[in-house]
Amino acid sequence: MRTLLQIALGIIAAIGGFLDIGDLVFNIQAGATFGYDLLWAVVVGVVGIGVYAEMSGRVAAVTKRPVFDVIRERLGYTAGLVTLLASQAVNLLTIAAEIGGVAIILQLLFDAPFSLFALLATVGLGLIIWVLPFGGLERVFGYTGLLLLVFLAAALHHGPDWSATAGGLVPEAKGSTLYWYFVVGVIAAALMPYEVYFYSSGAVEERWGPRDLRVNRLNVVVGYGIGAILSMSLMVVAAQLFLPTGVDPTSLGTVALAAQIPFGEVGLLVALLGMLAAIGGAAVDASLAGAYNLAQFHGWEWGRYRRARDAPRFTLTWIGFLAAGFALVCTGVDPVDITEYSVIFSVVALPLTYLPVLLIARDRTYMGEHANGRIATTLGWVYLVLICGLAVAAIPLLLATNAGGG
Amino acid sequence: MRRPCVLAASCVLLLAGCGDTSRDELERRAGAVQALAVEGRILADGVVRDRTRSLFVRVHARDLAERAQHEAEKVADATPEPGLETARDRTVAIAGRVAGALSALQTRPGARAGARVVRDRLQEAADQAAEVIARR
Amino acid sequence: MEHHGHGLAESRIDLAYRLLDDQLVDAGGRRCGKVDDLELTGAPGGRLEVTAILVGSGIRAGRGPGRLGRWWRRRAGAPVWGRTARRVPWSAVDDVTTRIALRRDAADLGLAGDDLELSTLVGRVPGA
Repeated sequence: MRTLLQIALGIIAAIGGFLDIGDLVFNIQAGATFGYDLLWAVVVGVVGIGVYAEMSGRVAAVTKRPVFDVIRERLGYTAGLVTLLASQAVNLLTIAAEIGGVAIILQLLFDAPFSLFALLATVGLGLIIWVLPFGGLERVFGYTGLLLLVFLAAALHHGPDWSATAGGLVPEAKGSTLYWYFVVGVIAAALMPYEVYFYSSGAVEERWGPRDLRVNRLNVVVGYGIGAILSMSLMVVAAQLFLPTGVDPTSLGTVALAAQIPFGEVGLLVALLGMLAAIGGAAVDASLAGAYNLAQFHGWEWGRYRRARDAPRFTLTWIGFLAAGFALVCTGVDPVDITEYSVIFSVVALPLTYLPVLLIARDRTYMGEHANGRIATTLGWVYLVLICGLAVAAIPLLLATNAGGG
Repeated sequence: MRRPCVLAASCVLLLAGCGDTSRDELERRAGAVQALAVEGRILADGVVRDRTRSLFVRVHARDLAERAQHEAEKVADATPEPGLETARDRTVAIAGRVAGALSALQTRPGARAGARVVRDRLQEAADQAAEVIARR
Repeated sequence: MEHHGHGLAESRIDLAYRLLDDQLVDAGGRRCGKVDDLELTGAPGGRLEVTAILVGSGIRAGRGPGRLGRWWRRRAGAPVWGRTARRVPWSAVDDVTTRIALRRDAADLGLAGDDLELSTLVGRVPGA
């Protein structure tokens, strides 16, 4: 029997594990550029990831099939392969961005050359995956990631403009392409596909069954719900501190500064450590997601619950992904730029990832009594249409706004 | 289908970057310099009030200084549209001063007296950049 | 296979549809590939039966559609049995649920792939 405490701990890990470098960058920049106006996009993004994380977790618990199993089964080999290539490209960009992010944070803490820290980050994250069991990974990064609550404290400390907050929660169409670029960015940052790959594979790793469906739902509602509040806090803090002064937060140092302004050195350190955990955790999740996808697509043995030598191709794949991410970061491209590209391109990989999940989740021959109800299916289709729209708009917006550079 | 579109869009962007620097473009650059100056001022203010960590200040000031230097070089290399030469030169000079002040902060990130000077200089630079933007 | 009784024509087709791209699991519970294709045997007008599961890159190459598929098939060449293609007789299938459980070990059926070599390689690292 799972104790209540264990369930609570899992949810806390979900909160801390929700944010990554993409959320940090896009939410802070959106707040610094458009104030409270884009809060609604956070809600749209978080409800979307919640709907599909819940579905993929439920499918994994009931059928023991994680997402890429389902993709290949439902889309067949060829369309499955296209999805695999697209999602792996996005995973690689994400890993590079997160490794670069970890290196930047280490630099801000200890001041040494970037490439040295990028190497240390890659080796360190690899060792952590190697040594810790699956549950340990989730919890170490999840709990430490909770330090990001310092941004919620900062937002409250400065006294949010509640009427502007309420106004920002109402979707609004504006003329500027930059506005729409950030709409896509904020939604996409919440919807990053590696989260769903990792979440559903994690359900199999932790041997979920139908009795864990309540935990699945709680994780999603409470964990992602509070994750959404964190994302909104970032946006609000930027609206309070950066929009009036005209600061353009293009680096992670600026994000940390947002916690230093109200809380001094302690705030700065807490923010840096929280970001380190959130970004490092995302690098781990995305590397494992890359290995899960490849192994599940080909039917190889996979999982951290196996010994490394019992799932050798899976093991070599996540190591390979970390190494490739490191190589990409060493080309000298700014990790924040890689982040923006990975987030925007991720939208293009999303429709083919989510469609098969939806098809299986509503299929009673697979899911029996646990198949989608009317609400889940409706929300699923609504989001699928929305994501297709985003996928069409994403790349033109990226080009038209010069990646948000104006 | 998508590839020709991306190619075409990239070409447009490339060509757009090759022409003379317009008023809008110059204002955008001056705005970027102003943003860097303001952020540098906040950073220096943290040192003055002893509310930050020296290592963080050093690394972040270095990053901001490099960005300011980069802006200075970009604006200096640009050929402005006729009538914008003075604004261009002013922007280059301001960006250079911002980079210089930030470098001073980077060199002595723990010195509170020095940080006070840097803070005031960056405030001044931010105001000057705002003037470039406002003067139409 | 009880699915092959008379009057179950539809479920036979459905079975083939359901089998394709499913996960194979060997007697030791190890994942060992996907159903890349099925071997169907039968005479015109007679019963069509699944007689084997086909696995391997040479088999997959045959599945690409259109021009890309043709290009791919030309590049891959014919499947080489025992190397890029393996035949798992239907008699080796133990149970079909959301995955296909096999009665024998992956290595016996030629489905272990490079796992044996790679496993020794990975196994050299402490903690593997």
